[in-house]
Amino acid sequence: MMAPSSEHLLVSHETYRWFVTIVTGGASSYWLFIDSFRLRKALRGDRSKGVVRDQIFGSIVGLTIGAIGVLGAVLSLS
Amino acid sequence: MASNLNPANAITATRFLTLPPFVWAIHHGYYQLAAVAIIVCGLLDLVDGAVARLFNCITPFGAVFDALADGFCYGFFMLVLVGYGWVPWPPVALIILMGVANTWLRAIYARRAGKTVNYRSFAMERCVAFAAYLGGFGASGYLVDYFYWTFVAMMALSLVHDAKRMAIDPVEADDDERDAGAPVAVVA
Repeated sequence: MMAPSSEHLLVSHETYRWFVTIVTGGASSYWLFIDSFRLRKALRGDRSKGVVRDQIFGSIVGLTIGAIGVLGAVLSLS
Repeated sequence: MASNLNPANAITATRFLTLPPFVWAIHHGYYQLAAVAIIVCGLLDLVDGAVARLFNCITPFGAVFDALADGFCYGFFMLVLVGYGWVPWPPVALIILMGVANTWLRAIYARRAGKTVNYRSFAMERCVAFAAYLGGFGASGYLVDYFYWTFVAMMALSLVHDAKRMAIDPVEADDDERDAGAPVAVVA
């Protein structure tokens, strides 16, 4: 795989990597917070309705994606 | 109903203007500029919805146009990155295949419902939001394999769940509740 060029950088590669890590970790943490809130709300609903079950599943997917993002940011730091 | 020629749709249209600079940046190896193009495209996606609500110009065409822009722009970013060898092709091919399957399932659901209706998938909405990040990760060379393959897994899980709901489970009366304000997913 061709490596991206390091010429004409807006900021240093190190600074840029920190920026991406912070954005990824921040957005993922926010995602975890929002979907945990949505999951709690959906769990209080009538689970015999398909739409409520789908909301629960969607929130679990959202929580997993948030966890993937946080783990990615941690992996990038290590 | 508001005209389709409104500020929100104009902003959605401007998202396509980020594609040529993105290709130019990738072609010349300017990965940070490429990521900026993706960020601008993502920010415009946030702004068009806010403008539609602010100016009260939400239209069915606008919802479809926004979803088209999502699918086209994010798909285009990934395909260009594959073309230049910055991201591996197998996960991108799987993502596009699953996007096509998802669109096909929505057509089946609409036929079963007997009306023009968009199935709102709460899980796939999260996946589409995740897809917005994939271009940036690919352009930045940031944990590419990790993020692309985990995305494939999450999208596959969501697709299997939605396939059962759209093609097998009975169409429920409360399914109409999910349609309010739901975007029409094209690629994802």
